[in-house]
Amino acid sequence: MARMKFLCDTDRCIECNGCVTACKNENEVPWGINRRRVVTINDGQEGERSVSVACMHCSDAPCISVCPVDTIYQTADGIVLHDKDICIGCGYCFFACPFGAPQFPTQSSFGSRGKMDKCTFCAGGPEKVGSIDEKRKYGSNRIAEGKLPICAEMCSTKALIAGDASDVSDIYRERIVWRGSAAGAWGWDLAYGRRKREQARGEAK
Amino acid sequence: MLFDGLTEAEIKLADGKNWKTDLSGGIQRVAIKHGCAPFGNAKARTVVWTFPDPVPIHREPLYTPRRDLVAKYPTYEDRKSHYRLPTLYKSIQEKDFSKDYPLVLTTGRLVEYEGGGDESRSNPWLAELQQDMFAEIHPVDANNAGLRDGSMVWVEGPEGARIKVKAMVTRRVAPGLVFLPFHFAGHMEGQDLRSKYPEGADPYVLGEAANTVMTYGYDSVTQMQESKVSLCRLKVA
Repeated sequence: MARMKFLCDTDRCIECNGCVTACKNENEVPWGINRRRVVTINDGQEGERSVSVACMHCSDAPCISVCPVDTIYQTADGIVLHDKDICIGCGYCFFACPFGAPQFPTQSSFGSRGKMDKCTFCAGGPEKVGSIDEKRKYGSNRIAEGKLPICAEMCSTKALIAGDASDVSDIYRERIVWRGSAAGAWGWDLAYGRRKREQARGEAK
Repeated sequence: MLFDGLTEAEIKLADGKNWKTDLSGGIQRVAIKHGCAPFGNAKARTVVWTFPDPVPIHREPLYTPRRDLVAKYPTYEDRKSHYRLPTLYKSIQEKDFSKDYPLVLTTGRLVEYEGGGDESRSNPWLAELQQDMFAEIHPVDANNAGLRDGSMVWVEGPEGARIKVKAMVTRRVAPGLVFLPFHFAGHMEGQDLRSKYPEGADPYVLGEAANTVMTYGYDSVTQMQESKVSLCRLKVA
């Protein structure tokens, strides 16, 4: 059984916000709702790193545990989805989430926040696959079309990887081997060198 | 020998690095000493005898804090007719503005926007990512001017114009350098001009145009505007 995951390779992320824009475009996310965002630390200094963050589709998701109306659920592929028809906008999931993934459209008196919205791994929601309701409430269902999330597919440096956890970790492990270092190595030779990649695969002449 | 000519401290930092990634500056220094410039070894392959400089040479900008370089690398004489337009060079450079305007001002692009920005600032997915015109200011200069990150600042140019933008206090820029993105328009010297746009034509995001405070200056051949070097000073807004 597949277990879908995102991974952002911080040695490759160039903070271009392509993933954020692609997500907004594909899912028609309104202004102010950030299903995905790029966070930069040590901006302009040695050791600067950027990381693209969205819902991490946790294996043991705290948002599912705290939701008082059981609106959040996990699919057989490990994707964390939610039902906007049940959501009461209490915001518990927002406080439980370590990544700030759940987003709320409004802030009004008496703490009403509107229906929660978050990254769906481009897997739609509980509505009928491909229906207008699904598109309107949750955005695209690319998984049903056999595609991966648009953010990862659009990533220009292939920093953001999405897919089955074992494939994602294989790709990342191979990168680490040919860089000769875990996160923290830098320089174009290390991030993109073809010869080292071939060496890692045992293809170098 | 590897690392010949580097100091002990430099060798420590340069180990495993190359001329692109050595932060000690040692590898670059030794490379330059041997006649190899790490930042580019391009050579002019053509002599264009119809250009003012048949082979490109450095000419100090019109507004410069390096008065010592003006004598060594002066700009052109003023021209009566540059594509039929009178164009100033030397008469601007002669005056020293660096006492009143001590900071170097440069402009450049943001990844979200393109050109003057009118189209990309009208795209909600892009406009949401850059909602304010800003100036990147080093913490040292921000401190001297009494600015905090996110506060408003007047950036004033030597030609008398000024723009009101948000201060981004960051180490992205070196001390003494101020950076402005040039994709914004729709504000003029602190005044919001949104009401002047035809109905429905105003972009989501408006801001001061960097051009307002940027230098006079034109390329001697193409008449392309100078968009990279000028001087400025900062005032709390």
